[in-house]
Amino acid sequence: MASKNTYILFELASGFALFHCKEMVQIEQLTNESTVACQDFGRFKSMVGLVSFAPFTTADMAIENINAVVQGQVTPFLSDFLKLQLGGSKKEKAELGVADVQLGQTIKSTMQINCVANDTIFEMSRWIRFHIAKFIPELKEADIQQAQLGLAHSFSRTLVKMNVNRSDNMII
Amino acid sequence: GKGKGGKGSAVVVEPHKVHAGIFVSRGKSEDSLATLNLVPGVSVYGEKRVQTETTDANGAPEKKEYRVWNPYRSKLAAAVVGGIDNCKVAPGAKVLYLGAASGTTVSHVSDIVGPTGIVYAVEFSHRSGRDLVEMSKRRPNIVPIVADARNPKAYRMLVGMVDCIFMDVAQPDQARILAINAKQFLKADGWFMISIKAPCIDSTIEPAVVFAAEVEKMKAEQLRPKEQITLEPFERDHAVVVGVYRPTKAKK
Repeated sequence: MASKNTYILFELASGFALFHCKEMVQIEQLTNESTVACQDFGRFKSMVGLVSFAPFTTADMAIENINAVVQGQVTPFLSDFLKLQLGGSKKEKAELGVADVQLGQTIKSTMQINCVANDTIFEMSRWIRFHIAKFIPELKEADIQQAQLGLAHSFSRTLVKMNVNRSDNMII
Repeated sequence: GKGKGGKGSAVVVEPHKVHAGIFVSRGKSEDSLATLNLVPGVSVYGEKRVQTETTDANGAPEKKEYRVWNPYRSKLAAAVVGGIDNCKVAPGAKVLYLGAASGTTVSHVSDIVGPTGIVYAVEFSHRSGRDLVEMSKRRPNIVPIVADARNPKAYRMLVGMVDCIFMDVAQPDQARILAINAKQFLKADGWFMISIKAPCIDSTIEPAVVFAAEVEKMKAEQLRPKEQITLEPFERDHAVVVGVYRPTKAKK
C-alpha cells in the first residue's frame, strides 16, 4: 500500500523525477481489473502527481548519474534534488518509493529519508513509465527517446571498452 | 544466398502476405525473406542486398534496397517462414529485444520497425555487445544496451514502455527473465515472442515436454500464450511461443 505521504523517485535518461501519491493506493488498483482505469491519464493523474523534475544538463552528467544509480549510489545532484524536495518538516513523515533496495538503503543512511521498495511502488512506477511524457510538459516522447539513445551509447561503450582485454563475461 | 541480385537483373520484391514491414524477394530458383534497408548501401553482416526500381504513385522512378534475411541465421525469420500468425515486430513498434547478440537479427528488426519505431537491444556478452554498439551507430532507431537481462533494474533509465518483447537468450530460467522484463517494460495487451531452446532448459526430457512446462511458467506470470510453433527445419529442438501480456479484454 502507498499512503498520502508516499513519494516515488523515477529515474529517466533525461533526469530525475519525483512523484507524490495523492491518495491511498492499493496494489489491486494498479493491476488486473483496473488496468483499463490506469491506462487513462486523467484517472492515473488523480492518484499520482509530479512534484518536480530535475533534468540532466550535459551528457557527462547523465552518464555520471546512471553509473551511480545502477550501483545503488547517490550523486550530489540526486542528493540535492531530494533534499530540496523532501527537506524540512516533510521529511519526518515522508517515505520515498524507489526501484532498487540498495539505492533505498544508501538514501536512508546518507539522508535519513525512509525508503520503500515493494510491489505497489513497482506497479506505480510501471504506470509512471507508461504516462511519463504526459507528466513532464517540457519532455516530448521524442526527447525522451533521444536521451535514451545518447545515454545508452555512452553507457554501453564504456562497459565494452573497459573489458577490451578481458575474457568474455557470458554465462554458459 | 544463391544467385546474383546485381544491377540489371529483374528482381521482384513484394510485401509479405501476412506481416507488415516484411518482404519477399522473388528469385528465379527460390524466394527469400527481406527487409527494407534503413541504411541503403550498407550490409550489416555480409548479407545480400537487392535493389528494385519501380514507379511511385505519380509515375516517378523509385529505387529501393532490401536486405535478404536468412531463416537459418535468425529465429525470428524462421518463425515467419514457419508461418507464425502474430508478429508484433511491425512498422512503428517499440520493441525490447533480449539476447541481441551481435545484432544480426536486431538489424532486421530495425528495418521492420522503421524510423518511427525503436528497438531497445539488450546483450550481456561484452564481445557481442561491442559489435552491437558499433552496428547501432548507423541505425538511430536502435538503443544498444550492454547489460544482463536478468537484472532489468540496471537499464531502467534507458528503456521506455514497449509494445513487444522479443527474447532469444537460451537460458534455463528464461521464462522468469521474460516475466521480470515484462513486469517492468511491457504494456498491458503488449505482445511477447520467446524462442525456447529445449536442451538449454533440460536435455534429459522430450522437447515437447520442456515447451509445455515453460508455457505453464509464463501463464503464472500473466503471460498468456496464443500460439507456438517449432523452428524445424531451421533449428532443432526450438520453439517460438507468442502471446499477450496482462490482456485487458475478456477471455474468449
